[in-house]
Amino acid sequence: MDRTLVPLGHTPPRPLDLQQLRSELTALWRDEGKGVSRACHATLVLMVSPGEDPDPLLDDLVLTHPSRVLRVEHDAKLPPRDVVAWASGCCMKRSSGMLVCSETLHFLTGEEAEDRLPSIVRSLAVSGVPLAVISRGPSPLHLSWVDELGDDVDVIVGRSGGLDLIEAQELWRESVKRTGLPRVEDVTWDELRPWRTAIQSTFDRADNVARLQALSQVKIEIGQRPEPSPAGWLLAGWLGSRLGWKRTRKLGANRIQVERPGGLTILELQSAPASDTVTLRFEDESEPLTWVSKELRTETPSAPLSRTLHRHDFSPVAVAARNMALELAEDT
Amino acid sequence: MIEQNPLRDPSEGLETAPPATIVIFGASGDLTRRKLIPALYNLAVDGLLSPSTSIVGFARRDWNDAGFQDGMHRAVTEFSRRQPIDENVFGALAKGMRYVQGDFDLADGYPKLAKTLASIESERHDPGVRLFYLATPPASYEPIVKRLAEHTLANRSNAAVRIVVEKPFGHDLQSAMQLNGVLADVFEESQIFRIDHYLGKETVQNLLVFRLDNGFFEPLLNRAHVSHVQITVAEAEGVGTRAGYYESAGVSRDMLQNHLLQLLSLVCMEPPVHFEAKSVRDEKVKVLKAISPFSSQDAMRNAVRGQYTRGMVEGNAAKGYLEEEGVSPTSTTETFLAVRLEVNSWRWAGVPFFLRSGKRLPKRASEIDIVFKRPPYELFRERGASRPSPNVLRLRIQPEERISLSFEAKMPGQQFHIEEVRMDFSYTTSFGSESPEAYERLLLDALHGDSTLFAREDEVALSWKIVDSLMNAWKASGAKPLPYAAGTWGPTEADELPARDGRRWIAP
Repeated sequence: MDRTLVPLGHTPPRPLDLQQLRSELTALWRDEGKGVSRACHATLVLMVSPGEDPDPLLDDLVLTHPSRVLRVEHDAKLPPRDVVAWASGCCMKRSSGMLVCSETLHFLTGEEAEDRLPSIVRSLAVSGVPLAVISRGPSPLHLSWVDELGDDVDVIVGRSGGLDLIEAQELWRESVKRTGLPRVEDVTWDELRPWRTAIQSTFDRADNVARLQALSQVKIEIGQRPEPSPAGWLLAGWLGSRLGWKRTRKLGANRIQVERPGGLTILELQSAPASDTVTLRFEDESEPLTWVSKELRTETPSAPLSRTLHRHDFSPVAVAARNMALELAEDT
Repeated sequence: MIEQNPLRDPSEGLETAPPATIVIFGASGDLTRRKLIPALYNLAVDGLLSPSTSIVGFARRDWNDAGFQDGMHRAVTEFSRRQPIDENVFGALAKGMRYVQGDFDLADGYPKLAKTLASIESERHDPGVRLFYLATPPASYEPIVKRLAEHTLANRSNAAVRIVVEKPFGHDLQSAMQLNGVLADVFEESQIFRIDHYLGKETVQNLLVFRLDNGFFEPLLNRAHVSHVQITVAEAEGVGTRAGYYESAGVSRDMLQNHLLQLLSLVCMEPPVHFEAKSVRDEKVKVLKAISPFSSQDAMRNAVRGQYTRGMVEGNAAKGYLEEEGVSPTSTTETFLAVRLEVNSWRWAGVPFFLRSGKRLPKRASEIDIVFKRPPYELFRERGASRPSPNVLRLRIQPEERISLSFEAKMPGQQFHIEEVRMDFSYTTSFGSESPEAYERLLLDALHGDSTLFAREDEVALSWKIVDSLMNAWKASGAKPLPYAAGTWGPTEADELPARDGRRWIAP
């Protein structure tokens, strides 16, 4: 597949005037968008956290998920109530030569301009397609303006792997508890897919399956922060939900004992100063099984988020994993 | 004792296939090179193949493992939809590639194959799925299956041993039954995967989603609202290098028996109770049972066959069929077919279905057009508007996959001009990502043991009954196929089929 990205130009940044922004966007398509298909599969509101560079993600995402993106970023230099906005477009060039294009509306907001966002989003959301609010930094559950949008939003996407454990637990709890709109999703579940695939495939081998009966220790080292990443707890939650674990007691910080069918297993989580690693040890002291992040299948930057956005229903496996992660990580 | 991998859960969606050994008979052929290996590579890129996947090539060509791996690398480089090639992924796949030289019909190669399989499965500590893929001329199917049984490489008791059979499934009802008999001696029906690659195409799968997962169209798809249905599978190419096969097949066996009737079944079938192999295939079979075989009189009235003569296709001069290499100068093989059928069911009784297919038609296009009845009263005629065009729901399968709906709209302006406009859904613009190749989907399904998108024995037999009735009627009449110039939509007589019902073919 040809994944060439062709920029379509942009309008000048100006203090927010939605009418003007819309007409400039129309002009952008009229002037630069001749002979292209303007596609929109969703409206994505992407909250950009300080220091985050969302461009690689967005450039890759719109290749497979043509959308209207509302990119929102705080700018401490702006007067507190101000919002500056502009529009840009980019196209993917198909192997047939056809250009399929998406548009991004950029918003820089002052410190106290958040309450202007719900009306901006309502006004610019494309009708008839899903509206997603994505925050890969701070928890999206703490964004009061998102609450105000209520069920106008179809899905709120957070990233437990980037949160502290308390916030991650809150995200998992909400994601399994909510039955109506907006759904809450955790993109970390999809970021962990290469881990799940690699670990799962190892146990397709009959001799490895048999070893699971004697699983004595699971050590998960994920994340570079001093505390183990919630992503590790979520991976442990997946393993535990699939292997029928029951937490029995805490052995120390981030170290617990679980009961599995036929015995006990120690689960230990640590941060990983070098490569993220998962190690499984067995009672017979046979060769441990180890998976290292650099040996996993690499994905495009947007693949996990794209999967999260395409999922229209709760995955029972993900729900079970989150419930188990909540159980395992309690008071650790 | 844990026996199944507890970490696997099918409800998580399309997940990695189980460890498997895929044995391709005809490993040096075009199908392997153009379709099978690129499809397996693309599945590997998507992480959908188990790292413990082995591919064993079996063919007459004098290759060794390295030669096979090189040949398949060239195939992926040339034919994969993903470029450039990810050498890491291909390298991992190539590590599991083995080659066994052998003649399909002779016993010599099979002990070597058995030894290779035993060694792969023992190294893996797990037999996994064993998938035999017959990418060979149909004449080799029977000897291969018999040899597999003789060398105990396949048996009915192991559901993880499967066989994929490419069309044609026989050349008439009798030979299809014979082939089914040979397969059934060695495999259970659940182990047999008869592949019709059309069923792996996204639009074809989407046909069911479109019909059965949307509230607004399904209530309209019946005799009360549908005027008629057209299904066209057109090829711009001539017979090319396939004259040997085509001379004995013709378009009726090559297209009607499988692609056209499969598409018809999917358009007409009732909603299945569950979306799984048995329920879906039961419903498709009911449609085929509801189509009466052609009597001699029906065949003369409701079917037209043709053979292309010289002409211009896509701006280039094209030979006539009788001038093609390998074609008998007195051949009466049909290269074009148009039929009018009826599906005698509660839902579809009285609705004509026009099916056509041919070679050297103006363009390559496959589509289903569901034409709705016109409104009962032409309200806008008194304002000068012309007679409304019927609404057409068009499901385009190739070259691009899209669905469109045509309807009438008033043109802007003071006058009351009404024009036909279209609402268009295209996979490309709506979903961005390119659709996987049909073979990717079907190979993955076969590895997972899901036969929903494969043809069942009774489907094959019923479709042969329809084709046989047509062939027998033509044979009895002694009539030759009607000539049509290459680059046209078949003999003009084909236009009379819909014209008799007051309809006309819709140009793809």
